[in-house]
Amino acid sequence: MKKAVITIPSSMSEETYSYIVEQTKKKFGEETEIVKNVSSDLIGGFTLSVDGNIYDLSVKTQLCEIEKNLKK
Amino acid sequence: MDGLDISTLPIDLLLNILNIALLFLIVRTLVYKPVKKFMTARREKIDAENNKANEKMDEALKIKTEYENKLTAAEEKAKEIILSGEEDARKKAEAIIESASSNSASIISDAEKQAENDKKAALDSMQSDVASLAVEISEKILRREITDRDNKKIAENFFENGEAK
Repeated sequence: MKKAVITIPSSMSEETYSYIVEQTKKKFGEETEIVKNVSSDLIGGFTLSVDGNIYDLSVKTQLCEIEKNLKK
Repeated sequence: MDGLDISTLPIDLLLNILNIALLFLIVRTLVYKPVKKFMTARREKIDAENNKANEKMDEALKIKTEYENKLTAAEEKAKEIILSGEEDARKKAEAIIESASSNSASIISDAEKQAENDKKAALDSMQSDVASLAVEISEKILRREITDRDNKKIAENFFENGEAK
């Protein structure tokens, strides 16, 4: 059985989180175990980790990459 | 006048003439010859001393000339040493000046490189600070501005279009 860890910002609504859970199960299988993780560090977006594959859709990560590019 | 009659001459006159002749012989023998001999010896002695003095004078002149030549040679040598010393000092001074010039050029070059490096480091630091500040400000703005609708849109883009990093 697959396990998916979904990390979301504290500001995210339950509705949006439910949408993410629904789409995750649809994408990786209905029996996928979902683990919810709320992080105050996240500004927006979310991260999804499934069987070692990480999908980083957080605004924080995008900002970090912008910062790296600005410092080059 | 008739001829001289010796018998008529007075005996005193004859004796006087005889005495004078005898005295002349005695004086010549006892005084003149020794005196002449003494004078001749004295003359020879004076001549010998004169010759000796002349020889010493010649020798002294020769020594004087020799020393004058040596003195002239010494003066020439001294001038040569002084000129040589001046030349050496001039060369050393030129070497010192050249070395100092070379060192100063090297120091200036190093300073310019250091200044360039410092400038680059300062610009890099400033760029880094500006980037950090820009991101920090952006984060604050985004924390305030991002809505739940934005979060949903991000999720929709990912699940519908597979847009993810």
